[in-house]
Amino acid sequence: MDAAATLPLTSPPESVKGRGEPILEVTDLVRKFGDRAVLNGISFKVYRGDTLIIMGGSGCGKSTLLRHINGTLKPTSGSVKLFGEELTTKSQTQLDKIRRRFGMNFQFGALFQSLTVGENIALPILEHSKIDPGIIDLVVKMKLELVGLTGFENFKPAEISGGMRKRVGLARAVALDPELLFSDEPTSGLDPVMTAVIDQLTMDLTQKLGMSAVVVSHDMTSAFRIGTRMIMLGTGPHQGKIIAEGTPDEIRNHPNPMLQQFIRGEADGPIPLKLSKDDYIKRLIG
Amino acid sequence: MQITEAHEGDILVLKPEGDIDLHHSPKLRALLQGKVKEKCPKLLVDFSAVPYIDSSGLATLVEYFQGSRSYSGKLALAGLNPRVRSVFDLVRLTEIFSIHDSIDAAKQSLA
Repeated sequence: MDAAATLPLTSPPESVKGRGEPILEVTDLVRKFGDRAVLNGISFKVYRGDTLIIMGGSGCGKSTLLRHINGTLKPTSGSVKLFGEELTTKSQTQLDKIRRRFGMNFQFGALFQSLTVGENIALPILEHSKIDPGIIDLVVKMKLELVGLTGFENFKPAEISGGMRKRVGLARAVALDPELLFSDEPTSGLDPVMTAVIDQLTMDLTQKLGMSAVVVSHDMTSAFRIGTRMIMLGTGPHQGKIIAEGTPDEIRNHPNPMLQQFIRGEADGPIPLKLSKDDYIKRLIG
Repeated sequence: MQITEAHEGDILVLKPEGDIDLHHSPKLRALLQGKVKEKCPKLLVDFSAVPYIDSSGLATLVEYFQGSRSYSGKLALAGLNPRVRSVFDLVRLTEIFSIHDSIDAAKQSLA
């Protein structure tokens, strides 16, 4: 049976009605590279205070989706509205103004190696404000405290561990106290205690301060801990489509076998890891 | 953002009204740095009309706190709404600042 045939529609559920305008609204997003549709009709909404988890197998288009909703890439077709503004038609200058309102936490930190940890965190503040350097120094120290790295401001990225670099990346992403945080695999490579610390920080920022978050994650423990809504992107015949959407409880109890295989981390199941025999022969010898 | 000043005995009460964010914290900073220069002995900041404070606002208060320690000045904060209090909590400033639910309690702490 086609697994996707049993799936519910992705329209907003009752639980999100009456929450004002969405801060992020993606409609029929399509992105093709050559003939291959990496994203193929993606639609979802994110409301204030939401933490939306984007999950899916390797190559399903999670990071590509993230790069479209933060304005880095333009889609083949479809719409991305962020803070009520259509991103897909904005110029670079217009996008820069919108970028002031969200933070981007990259998968591997994406720190500038020639700058210290403190200088990396200060960068967005310097870029978007004329705040006094003394005040920026204090903000940097507070952001380092947020991610458990007090005292590391003078280190270079090469002098700290990969997990620390990830946390510095998060500190930089929230340097301007953004309304929305995009986060790509924020806890991969972190130990369980530090994962819990980062999860708690995300929950504090969303639940106490009203920030919203869109998080790409493979870490199911973390995803179910922080997510208020979840979407799963398909692979193989469902490439580029949302195959399931819901609250963490709805996802946990969802009937889709691909989804269940993914969240249980099982090797055997309907997720196509290998090509069919015919496709393999075709790729191998033409 | 408007900031009103009132003297109540030897306590200076500052009442900012509006968000204390990147756009407005420089105004608060200019005022507070002036108070450090004057060696203001007791300062109470009434947050009851502040819906939101960002990191630059927090840093501005920390800078005042640093400066006032050089002459043993006292600082108390009062009237923080839950969201503003959470901002202080997240970076553990509730452990550093003297924070009170009411203005009266803050005044007593400065007495």
